[in-house]
Amino acid sequence: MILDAVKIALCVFVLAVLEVAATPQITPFGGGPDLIVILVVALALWRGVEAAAVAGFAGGLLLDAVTFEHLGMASLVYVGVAWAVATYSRRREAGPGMLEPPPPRALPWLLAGATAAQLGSLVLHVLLGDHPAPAVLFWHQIAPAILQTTLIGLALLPVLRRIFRPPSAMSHVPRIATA
Amino acid sequence: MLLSKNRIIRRRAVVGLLLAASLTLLTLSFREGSSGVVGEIQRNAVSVTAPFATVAHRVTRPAVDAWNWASGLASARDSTEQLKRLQAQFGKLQVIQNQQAEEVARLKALLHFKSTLGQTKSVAGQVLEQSPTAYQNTVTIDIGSSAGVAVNDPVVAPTKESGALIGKVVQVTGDQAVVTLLLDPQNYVTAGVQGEPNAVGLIKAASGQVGILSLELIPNAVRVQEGDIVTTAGFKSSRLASYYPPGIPIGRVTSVSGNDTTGDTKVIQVTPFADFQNITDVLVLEPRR
Repeated sequence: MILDAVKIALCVFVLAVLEVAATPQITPFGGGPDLIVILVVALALWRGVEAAAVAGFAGGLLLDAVTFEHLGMASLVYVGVAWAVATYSRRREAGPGMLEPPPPRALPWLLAGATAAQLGSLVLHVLLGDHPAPAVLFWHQIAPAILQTTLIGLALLPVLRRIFRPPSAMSHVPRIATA
Repeated sequence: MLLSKNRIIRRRAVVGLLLAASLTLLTLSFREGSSGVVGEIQRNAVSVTAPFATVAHRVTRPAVDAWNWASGLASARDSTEQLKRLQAQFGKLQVIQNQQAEEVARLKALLHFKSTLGQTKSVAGQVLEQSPTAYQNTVTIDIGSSAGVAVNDPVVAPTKESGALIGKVVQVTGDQAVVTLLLDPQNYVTAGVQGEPNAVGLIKAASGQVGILSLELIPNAVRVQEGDIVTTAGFKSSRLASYYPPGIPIGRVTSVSGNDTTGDTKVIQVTPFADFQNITDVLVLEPRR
């Protein structure tokens, strides 16, 4: 539990720093990849909604703080994404004595999560009084961000899977005492 | 069943608490702006992440330069085959050489621009962080109040010819500063057209076009044409003075048309000299000290 928290904190910090320091310079069309959403989706699939929501909250807070955006905006979006992905990706829960169903495929959920994060961010900005031109926003923020997030996810998800390896199905089978 | 119910309640409580915390922070952030506790948190966060951002910036710099070099070649020659052949021919060594040559050219341009500033004092710095979304146009630089940087100081970046205005400082900590770029819709600068003393208006980000500026409030009677150079106007009255010294290049006029809404002013599109996507070195001017 503590090890998990340390790993999550480190991942949040490293990805947030990379997101603001490295990726904006290699994005020719505007919006850069959303590295935090990759972590949030990975945790939502493999560690549950609590871990994903906490990581999303912390990551969003850090991003908002270092980019001088209104604090809480990105956190709100990421917590929402964590909840949505964790809820809708696991429609079935193991009953007593049943094996955990295997975690769903990550990439389609990353695509959905990245899209939800972009749309959520757009809705928040519009609600808070920004009125960006829709076409510009689509071609220079939403579309490139979703595409780049998904592409980087192809490389990053296996790494995150190694770090946050889902517990094997057998570990959920209760042991039976033998004489 | 009871366990499952407890788990669901706990999940909902965690998500609910985090959502409530986000909304509270958002409300506080709007009410206090950058002056209160929220601003303090943000300044501290920038200070904490800055050393790591510097490392990340340096580590990824060769990759970024290689990317810029490759994309620059692609756009210049518009030929993928040529690009592949060149890359195969010159390989990594050429990328490094190009990177160094680009850096030398950038620094030379910056020095040249600094020499043209005359009495205006300036401090050189490097970009540490850049906003990852199109909603916000800010960069964080590695110099702050300890180097003499203050809020509202104008910031310029080197270009191929000399230098160009990129924005102004909006937040300062001891060793870092946050710069709002000209592309931010909230950023207005008094600007004029070189050689036309009456062509003075406000320049701001053009709505609906990424990377393009719009010079407004220029009367129809004033002659402005494509290719004209736009610079800061730097007005000064008895009570007010512009933050920007006069004569800093901003961009080149790329189109001139009539204004449909008022009818008596022009709509002038300006392509900035600065490449906002690839800002690495900057000069912070200190015109008022």
